[in-house]
Amino acid sequence: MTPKIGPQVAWQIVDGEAIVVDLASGNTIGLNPAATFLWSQIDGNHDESQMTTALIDEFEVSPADAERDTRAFLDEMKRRTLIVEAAESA
Amino acid sequence: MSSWHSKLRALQLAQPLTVQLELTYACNWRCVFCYNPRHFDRARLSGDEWIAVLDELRALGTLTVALTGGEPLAHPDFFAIARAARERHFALRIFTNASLIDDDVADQIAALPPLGVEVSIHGASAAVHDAATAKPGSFDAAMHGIEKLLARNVPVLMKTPVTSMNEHEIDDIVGLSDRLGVPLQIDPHITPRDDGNLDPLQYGASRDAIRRVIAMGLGSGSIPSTERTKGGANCGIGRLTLAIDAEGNVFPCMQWRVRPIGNVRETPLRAMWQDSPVRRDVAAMSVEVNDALLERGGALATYPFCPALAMQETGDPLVPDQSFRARAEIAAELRS
Repeated sequence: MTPKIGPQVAWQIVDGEAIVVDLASGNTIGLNPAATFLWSQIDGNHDESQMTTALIDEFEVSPADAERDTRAFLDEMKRRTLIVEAAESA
Repeated sequence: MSSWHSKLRALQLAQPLTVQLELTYACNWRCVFCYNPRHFDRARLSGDEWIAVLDELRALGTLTVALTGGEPLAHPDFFAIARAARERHFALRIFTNASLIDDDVADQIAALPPLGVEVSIHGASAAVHDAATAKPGSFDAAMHGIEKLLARNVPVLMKTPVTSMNEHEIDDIVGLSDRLGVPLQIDPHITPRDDGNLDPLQYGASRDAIRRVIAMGLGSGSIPSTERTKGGANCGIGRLTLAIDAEGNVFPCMQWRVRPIGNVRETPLRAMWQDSPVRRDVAAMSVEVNDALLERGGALATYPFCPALAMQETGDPLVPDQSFRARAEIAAELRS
């Protein structure tokens, strides 16, 4: 998928970690540095594969681990409706 | 990282997470206890100027932007500014009297969407509310505005300062929030005008009414309290908050109007935030206040204290004002 940040989301970085606010529920979550890095790649242009490659370059993890972590991160963000498919909202 | 931990880290790092933008002094109400000294702008920032400010705030690390006034919807570029705030992923709060919200405005607010809309309501009846606002019909207009927001699932918070004018309606005000199905925040304190004029204080509620409101937890259900540790900050002034008025003057918080940090038309916000002695001084003052209250101990140490309001009333942020003392004592009595 090529994700973009959902329309009901606010966020900012504090001390290298993203705070993400779900405006629909008012809930806030904090992301760890790796998840924050992935979050910062979400711009409606980078697809999952490109994000995986960026994660490998940034954290020097194995391709298999990076692929698994990127997929898990995107699935979780999508489940929480914090991201949407860029094509869906274009 | 939890949101509480994030806030603590922002406090330690001096990152202005929460900012209030006072878009205009203009307002269609004339509340008798209003803290604004005037209802017109001399050299109001344009929509484009506010949007440039939003870009600077994003880079400074701001998360929550509150659009306030005056009546913020009276700014001709309100929605351009609000939409720009959301495009930059700010959590947006709107402080309004709701009287200008018709179907079109409600649709546009819902589309933003905001984190919440906070509506000032000054009584449970039109007679009491309209007397406070000096605007006949303002209660009905506000109710219509709230209903239009709720019909679009926009989160609404009802905010009511308890005054000598509405204290006999406290139960009805609670009932009104229940009927509307919106949370209620009651403020037991009327503040002086931003220019230091103390006239609004004549509308302060009685001690009995303040006691009732504090016992209700100001609407939240628990008596307000604060925990202090030596060397900690009393509040986020100079570290966590900023306020910018309609003409671009930047203050360390909405209540601290002693001296601006600067003006956005003259100095980049980052330079103000990093270099301003005013900001550094108030940040240090916040620690000094905390330690002074801790040393005093007792009721004054355990109730949330605003040094800016103390400054307005006593001329010294380290000298607690009478209304704070009264509220702190009441809270201590209720806890015991």
